[in-house]
Amino acid sequence: MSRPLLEVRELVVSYRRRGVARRALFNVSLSIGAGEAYGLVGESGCGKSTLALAVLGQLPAAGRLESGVVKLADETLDSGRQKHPRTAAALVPQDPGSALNPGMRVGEQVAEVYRYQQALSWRDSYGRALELFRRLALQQPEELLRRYPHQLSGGQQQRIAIALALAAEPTLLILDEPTTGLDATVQAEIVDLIGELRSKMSGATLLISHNLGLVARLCDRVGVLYAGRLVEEGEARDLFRDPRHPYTAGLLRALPRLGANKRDSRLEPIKGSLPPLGALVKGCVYAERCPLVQDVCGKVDPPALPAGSGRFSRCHFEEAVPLMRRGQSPSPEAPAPPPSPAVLPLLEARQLEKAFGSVRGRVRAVDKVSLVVSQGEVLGLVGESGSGKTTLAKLLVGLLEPDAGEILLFGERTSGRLEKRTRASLRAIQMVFQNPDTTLNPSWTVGAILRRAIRRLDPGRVDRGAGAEALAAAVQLRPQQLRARPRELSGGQRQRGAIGRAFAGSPQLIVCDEPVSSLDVSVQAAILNLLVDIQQERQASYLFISHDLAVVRYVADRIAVMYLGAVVETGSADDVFRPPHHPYTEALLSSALVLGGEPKPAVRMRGSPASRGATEGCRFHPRCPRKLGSICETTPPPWQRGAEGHEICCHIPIDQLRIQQEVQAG
Amino acid sequence: MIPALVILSMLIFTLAEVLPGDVGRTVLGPYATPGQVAALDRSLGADQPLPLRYGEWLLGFVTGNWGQSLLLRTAVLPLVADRLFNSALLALLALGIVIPLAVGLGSLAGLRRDSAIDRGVSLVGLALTAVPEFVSGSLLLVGFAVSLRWFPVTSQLTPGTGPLGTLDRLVLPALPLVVVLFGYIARMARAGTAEVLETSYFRTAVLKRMPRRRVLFRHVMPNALLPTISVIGSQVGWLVGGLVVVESLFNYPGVGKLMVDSARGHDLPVLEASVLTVAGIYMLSNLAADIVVGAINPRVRNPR
Amino acid sequence: MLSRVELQGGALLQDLEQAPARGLGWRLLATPTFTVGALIVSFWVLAALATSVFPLVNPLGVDPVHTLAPPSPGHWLGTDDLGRDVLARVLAGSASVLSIAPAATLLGLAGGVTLGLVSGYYRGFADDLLMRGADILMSLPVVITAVVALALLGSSEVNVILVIGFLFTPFVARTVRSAVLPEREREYVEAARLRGEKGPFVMAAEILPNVRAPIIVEATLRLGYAAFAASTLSFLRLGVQPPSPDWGLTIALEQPYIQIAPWTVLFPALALASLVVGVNLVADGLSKVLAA
Repeated sequence: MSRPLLEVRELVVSYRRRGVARRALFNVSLSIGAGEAYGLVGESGCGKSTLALAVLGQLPAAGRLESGVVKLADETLDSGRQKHPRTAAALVPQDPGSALNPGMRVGEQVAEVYRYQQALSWRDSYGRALELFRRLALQQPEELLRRYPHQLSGGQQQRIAIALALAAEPTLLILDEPTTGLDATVQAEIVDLIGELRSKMSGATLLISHNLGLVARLCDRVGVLYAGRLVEEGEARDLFRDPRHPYTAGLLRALPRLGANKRDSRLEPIKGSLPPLGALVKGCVYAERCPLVQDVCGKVDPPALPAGSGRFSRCHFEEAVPLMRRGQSPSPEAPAPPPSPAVLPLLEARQLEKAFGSVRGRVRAVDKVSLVVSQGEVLGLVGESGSGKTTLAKLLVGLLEPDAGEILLFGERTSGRLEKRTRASLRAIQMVFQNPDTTLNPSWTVGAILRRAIRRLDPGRVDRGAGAEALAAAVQLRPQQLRARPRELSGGQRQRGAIGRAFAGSPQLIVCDEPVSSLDVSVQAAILNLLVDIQQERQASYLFISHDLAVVRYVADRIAVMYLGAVVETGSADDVFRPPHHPYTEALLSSALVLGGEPKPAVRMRGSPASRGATEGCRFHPRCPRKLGSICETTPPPWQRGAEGHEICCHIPIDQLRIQQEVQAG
Repeated sequence: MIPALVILSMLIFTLAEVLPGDVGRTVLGPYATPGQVAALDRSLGADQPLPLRYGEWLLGFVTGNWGQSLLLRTAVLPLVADRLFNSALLALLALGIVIPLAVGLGSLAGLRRDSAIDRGVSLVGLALTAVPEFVSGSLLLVGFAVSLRWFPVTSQLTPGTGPLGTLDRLVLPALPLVVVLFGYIARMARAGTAEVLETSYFRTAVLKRMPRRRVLFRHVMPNALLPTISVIGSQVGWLVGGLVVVESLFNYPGVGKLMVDSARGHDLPVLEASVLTVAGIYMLSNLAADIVVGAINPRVRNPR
Repeated sequence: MLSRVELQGGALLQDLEQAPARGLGWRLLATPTFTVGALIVSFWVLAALATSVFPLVNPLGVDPVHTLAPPSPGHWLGTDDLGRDVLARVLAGSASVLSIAPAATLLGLAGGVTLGLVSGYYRGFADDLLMRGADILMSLPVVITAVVALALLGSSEVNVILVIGFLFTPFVARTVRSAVLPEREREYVEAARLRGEKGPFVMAAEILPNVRAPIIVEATLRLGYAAFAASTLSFLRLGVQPPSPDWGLTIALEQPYIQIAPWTVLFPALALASLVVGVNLVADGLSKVLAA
């Protein structure tokens, strides 16, 4: 390329902690040209944020640029000079809300950039800020200028963080995980926005993310970072279609693709784990986890070998990667389809209601929801924040008491209050939670946690120690780990412990609330496999909640879609993901970032997330891209039946919906 | 706040008049005859039922009729008011010294974390705040009044002393108060400032390439000082306790000394009135701090 | 405690921070503030033990001839207005503070932890009531209330302990409650409830172990305040009574002689200052190490 805007050469960065220096980046080199978008991918702890901070000259006090050079525009950083007096780069950090000064109005925060960097007058700077807000598709920009950050939604905060970066008219724009924490549909809007801005920018863009789909959508070139080393680089399209490093290939195989189901494919986790920070490894750093490993890998650190035009890979055997055999032994028997639903349903919810808030602002978190979970099946529950799925889960489990409605376990009424439930029903329904860091009591050993669970949920079992060992084996934890406290275990191991605890009393139903959302991709695959296997072995049912559509598609037999407190569609996984489906489901699917294939024309919802439907009509009508007309506002939509067991709550006749959506999908 | 004050008044009244047993006995001491005690009880109205006595007392308090001091034989209200004024002078001087000093040094320490100045301020603050007022007061007395003779040994305020003379007498008693308050306020200011420096929005502000002064005063300080202000409000409680000690040590005619003297002398009307007044003022100061914080904190001013 | 910047700069740093609790003792000793404070406090504890259990010095020996004598080889720190040896009285005076302050702190802790746990876990009406009560109690300046209470109940060591302990309870309760509130929302607590565990078990076995650190720090802070308050009360002649060599009392009694015999006030003052500073240094060191 012509002279690159950003050039990083042989960058080595280390952190000093308690007197010991540990290396975070090992001789990383990359360059980004004008108008180009470079994606840096890797899992947590790989060093991508460190690279961004080093480029900005904003390494924390403990960090040091040991050697190498960073050249941006006409500024150079090296071991002698680590901080810019003025940098030509701008950063949109990971958590946009915290990037905004909580004590200052957002308009002022943007305007002051113009005032100080371009010496504009007070009035002019606000004019430019307003213009920028409009360009970023912020609704009611004049009013927004006067708001404080805590009064804005996540999507709005993200846009304003982007505005702050753009106002500086930077030579290099760095985006650090720009969509983490945002709802799928909001994410999609931000992604569209960034795509649009990119095409008009003359500077360079560095996008950092662990989300491969996002990077594929927005970037021209991609670099893969593993344990502080850049192991592969190339054009985005080529790299994701035809990876030339075993780690990249491993990541791609660990991801559930939209469309894959547990019955027809199996996720491949990457065995082993990330080396500890700053470990100096002889030979290739990935060797211990690599299916292609040979003797030479343990002795010689692979150089950056060319792997096609404009590509390189740090692997001795990069040509062999496309031929990589599936690492695992032949997958165990594909899971059988669930038994026919004619059998007595395991759990039934009827017209459940739960509202929160004061007299002035009552929010109906769960609004007359009815649901059925059959024995031996996995029911997936999909929805964004505010859909009520977590509240519904807590109602079913008994952690929250419903305002109205019934819950029936094997046909018998169960109390809404946890304290009033029988021992038997406590045994029957258990839960696996989202956050691996707080799901286990940090002061207890894993063994103690399991033994206590057995004591309460399986009182017949006398030898609790043996029981705990059996549970540990079932979730693939080693016996020594029973003596460990949670903080000594990794995220994946803690989640295994939590799953073991849930199964202590041989429950019939387990509610899984985003069980893999906080885990890295490679670990996610392993835990999903575990959940699928253990469900089959023990004939349990799951209510599996997730915002990640690919994960739900993989795991679930049936799916229910929730929007603003109500279920809008239920059906088998296949049926829900194909037309006809509810317009909301359509928008959700359209916002998912898919790897490979051409991007489909987008279906986007109108308006902003805060709008709620009027109580009489369809709750989705303010945002529905397929709104029929006034009937949607006045009359509650009927339940329409599609294929066997498939129901959609919409006014649009189902056949018409099918035709329209099939056309849309191309 | 009103219900809290009412409950407070009940507490004080109970404490003073009920707990120790017979009122007359409490006032006259163990050597008076039962006859004398009964007579005093009657004249004080202490033989009436409790709620009635409380009601009368409360009514009197609210209407400004605070009764007579048993020991000094003067009206209570002007006595308390006069002493209160003196104490206020002392308190204001102490606050006037400590707030700028502590906030300034504390913030500076927070801005230059782990530097010599930071360690110095933290250590000094930690050490000083632990020293009770009578200890530092005694040491200061020995040092400045006895050895160096810079300040007078007692701080009796005689009428006719001009402002400079008054100031002269106020300095030594104010210093122990400053010493005690400094540590906590400085640490809060330091913590608040250091915390802001760690935030994402601070880094964003730095990256905006604005002059340092703007970043400091518009981005750092307002957020850093928020927790400090509420701390200052609560520190007034320790200030009040400190006043008691300092006034006793330096013989300063303030309300603190009045409380101790009336407590020791079992002068119930004065005791009840002064304690309630001081407690009420303390509550007011906490309320004021809350209001100030609420006025500055945008989250409170503009709810979602 | 990792700063956000460091976390963003590399979640890798987390594995460095997983230093297990067995290192706690060594880490404490490595903290200068803690070590210095602990040394000071240990010195006075030894002095208290030495003078009360094994009477090595005589703090009560009156010598009418050599009153108010300046420091000399015979009396290293001089004598007071009754001819008693100041050094002996200073060493013996430690016992007074060191028996009152810890007892008052324990009393406050016992009440405060229980109330804080109950208030924080159950929330609702009980929480509102308890916290209102705590607010009212806390709105009374500690020293003033203690003065009033002791003046009317009578001054004695036991009363001082009771009053200070009682007045400290709401402070401890508030701190404990603040620590309990986030813990009770954690998933492991929900998991415990799903097992059918009852309230007392959840509070004591699940939550309490995880709020150990703030309780320990609060306890040491309270200890410092208790020493502060107890000595202030004895200074105001509302605590222990003569002829106790208590430091606060001594300072009050010797104050009239400050111009002619400053050593009678100086040394007890320095002793008291050093002890309270020592306790605060220990508290500071503990809070730094436990927060990491």
